[in-house]
Amino acid sequence: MTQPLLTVRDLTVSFGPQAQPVRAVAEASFDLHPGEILGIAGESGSGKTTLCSALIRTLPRAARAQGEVVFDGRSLLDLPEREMRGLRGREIGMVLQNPMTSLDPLFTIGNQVNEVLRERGARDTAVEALRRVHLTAPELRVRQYPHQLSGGMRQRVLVAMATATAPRLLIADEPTTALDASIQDEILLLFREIRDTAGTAIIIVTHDLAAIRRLSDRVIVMYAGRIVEEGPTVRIFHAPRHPYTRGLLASVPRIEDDEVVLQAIPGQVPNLAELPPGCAFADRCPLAQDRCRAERPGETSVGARHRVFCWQAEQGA
Amino acid sequence: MPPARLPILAIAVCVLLIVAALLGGVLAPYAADEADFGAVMVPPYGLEGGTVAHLLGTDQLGRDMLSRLIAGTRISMLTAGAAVLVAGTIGVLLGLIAGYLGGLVDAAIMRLVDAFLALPFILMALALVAALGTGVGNIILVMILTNWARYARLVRSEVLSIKRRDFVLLARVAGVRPLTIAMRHVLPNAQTSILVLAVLDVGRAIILESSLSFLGLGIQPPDMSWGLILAQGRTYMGIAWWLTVWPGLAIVLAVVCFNTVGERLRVKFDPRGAL
Amino acid sequence: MGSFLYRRVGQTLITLLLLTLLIFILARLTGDPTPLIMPSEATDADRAFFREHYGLDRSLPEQYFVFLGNILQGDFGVSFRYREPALGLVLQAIGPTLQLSGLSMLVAIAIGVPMGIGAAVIPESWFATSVRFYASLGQAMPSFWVALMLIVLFAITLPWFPSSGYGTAANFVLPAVTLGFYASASIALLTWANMTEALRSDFVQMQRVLGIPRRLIVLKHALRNAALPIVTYLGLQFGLLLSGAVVTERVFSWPGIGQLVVDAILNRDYPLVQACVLLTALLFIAINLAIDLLYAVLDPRIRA
Repeated sequence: MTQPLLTVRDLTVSFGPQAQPVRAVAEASFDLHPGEILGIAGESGSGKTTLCSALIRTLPRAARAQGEVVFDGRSLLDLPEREMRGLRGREIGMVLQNPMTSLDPLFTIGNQVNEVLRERGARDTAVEALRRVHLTAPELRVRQYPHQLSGGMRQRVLVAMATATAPRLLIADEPTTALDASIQDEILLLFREIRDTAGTAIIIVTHDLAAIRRLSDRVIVMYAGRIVEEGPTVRIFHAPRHPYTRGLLASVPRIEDDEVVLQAIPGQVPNLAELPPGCAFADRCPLAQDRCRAERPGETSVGARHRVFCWQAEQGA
Repeated sequence: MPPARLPILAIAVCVLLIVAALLGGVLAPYAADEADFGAVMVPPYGLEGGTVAHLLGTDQLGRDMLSRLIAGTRISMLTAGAAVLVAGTIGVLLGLIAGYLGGLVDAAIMRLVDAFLALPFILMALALVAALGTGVGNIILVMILTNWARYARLVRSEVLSIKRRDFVLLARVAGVRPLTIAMRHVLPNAQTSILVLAVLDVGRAIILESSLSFLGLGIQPPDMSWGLILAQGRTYMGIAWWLTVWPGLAIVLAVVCFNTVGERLRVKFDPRGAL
Repeated sequence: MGSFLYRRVGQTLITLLLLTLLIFILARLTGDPTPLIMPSEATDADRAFFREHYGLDRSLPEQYFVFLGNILQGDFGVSFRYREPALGLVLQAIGPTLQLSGLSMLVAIAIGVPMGIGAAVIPESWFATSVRFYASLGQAMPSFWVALMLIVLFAITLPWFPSSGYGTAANFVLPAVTLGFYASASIALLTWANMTEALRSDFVQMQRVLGIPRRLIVLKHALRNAALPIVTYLGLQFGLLLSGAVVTERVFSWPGIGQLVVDAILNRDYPLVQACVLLTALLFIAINLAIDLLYAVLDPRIRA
């Protein structure tokens, strides 16, 4: 196995008072190898977006990040802000949630793309950068303003900006959520192409399991700020071990005998400020036992690079 | 933005000013117009020649500055208060009518509002003073006429937004009289914005009155207001700074305190909106 | 864009028309100007002639339409005091007023905008606190008092600048600082609020993760977006400046509209008051209309 590009160990992001912190992300650990696509799945509020912000250090002021994030031998949490800014965009690219509002409405596309290119000292022109992400008629687009482009086109522009100098890591936060279904596939294909041509490792964060299934090599499932299961995509989708992962998969609407079947997980996502001492999912879990409520489950290996945090993992198999 | 703490000091000053305005002469050590040619232009206490008997000094006629300021508080606060209360009431009523009846009445009232707001407020006040004349009564009238339009605009927009809500529609269907609906549903919903506008208006009114009085177009002697005291002291500005500094500070203090209270109320009730 | 423009201009015209009616009614409220104008030894025949000459013997609606017709022809009446067309007097005074307000606006922008940007970039700092303090003082200090204090400090105690008059560059300093200070307070607060909002927007977040330097994000993108509402507000601000100018001009003996209108009121020269008020209103409304159009140029979303 190659050296991991990114190593995350016990990453915890907390808000609020020191004495009673609210942990938006708790003790997250994972590796990412060069050229790998990692999907992070979870409902809103599961901490997946906070996790990304912590990696690239754009958390709100009130947040505190602890633990270890090593990117290519450099410890990101200890890096001075100036060096971190050098990494952002150049070696770690990121695409944010909402393509509709992520471009400055008052400047032309060309102006904004050029600004990024100039900042990186890239030799490409804006037109070339846009052509690489298969934006139609790039010569026209550079003279247009964001409001004249569709959501999908804007997402391509943002991807072009984020990958202008072939970063080694690209983080995409809900990259397809705001787009029409027909456009979503095209954007996913674009991510795959970027990985294949530039060898970029990609973290894609989304609650859209279909997107993860199509794109990623490996999947992390998060619940209430914690990783509950991690494994190769095929295993997660065909042999999920955590009851939450199963619930999540079952809650995807699917068509059986011409009827839409949707099986929601009963109960509600717990309040992060009042988490129980045991497993956070215990209250909604069909398999929960007394031990689950009392004691937090540790990591269980259930196959090659497949781990799960659940007391019932053995029986659930 | 800092969290909205209660501006205790500002509230205290506002209350003090209102009390001073109501009690007036009772608090003052001397009668405001009592001349004393034996003690002319006495500097404030603490300076050379100053005395405890005249803490803030005396003017060119030997009148005690502190007593004059207290007398000025009365007129300045009275004009501001009357202007805000009456202008507020008129504006609120017209706004309710415009918002409720809609159509031609609404258009007429709103164009009138536009016309009144089309002029910078001092200019509107000057045009009115030119027509109505000066003196306490006229100045109050002028301030009412320059101020009512903003309340009308505010209340009308509140009415329009509330009118479409379910409970008001239900009340209308149930045949509740429009006036009852206005009193029971619209006003309680709009009262915080009206209150905020009114408190902020006190500051505006104090500045307007003092500006007019300073120009010689407002309060006329023997009545007294901060702006007038300032205007009278202006001639002696180079030799007796206290004649202009005290009344000016009184205006600044009053306006800062009323504005602070108004701002805090605004942040508290409506953290995002602007008036 | 076209229909927006027509509606905007239409509303403005109605407002102006109502304003003339208002001014006309106010003028009638002042009563019959005849005794003021005519010397006491004038005969009844003289007075009757005067009334007829100024149309005072006709019905009120008739008088209004004559008044309106005259205004449309640029005839704002003759000043009782100067015995000259009021329009000419106002036009003479409008230059100095515009110079003073224009310069004050520049002073206010030069002070207020950097303050607002700074406070938005580093909120909860001593700087932001000082800006809040500065702004609340700026809004509470009446401009005539600031003017007097500046005269005491910088014309009497330290004789650096003239305390009154018009003509040289030195004459501009104290009046422009007085008015600029007053206007800078609200510009600072407005810049602060709009910059804070712009800095929270998605595209600023995106630019941060793209590694675009903070300086560029703040001064190019956030500022340009925050500038749109600020520009709209500058029109209103100009009205406040005109208000402040009335009082400030009086203190510094500045030969502008403010001085002219106050003198006219003190002399009960109503035609001149009318002309001053109407022409200032016209100016104010025209500037706000121009700003609405400027807004359209600045924002590509409206331009299209």
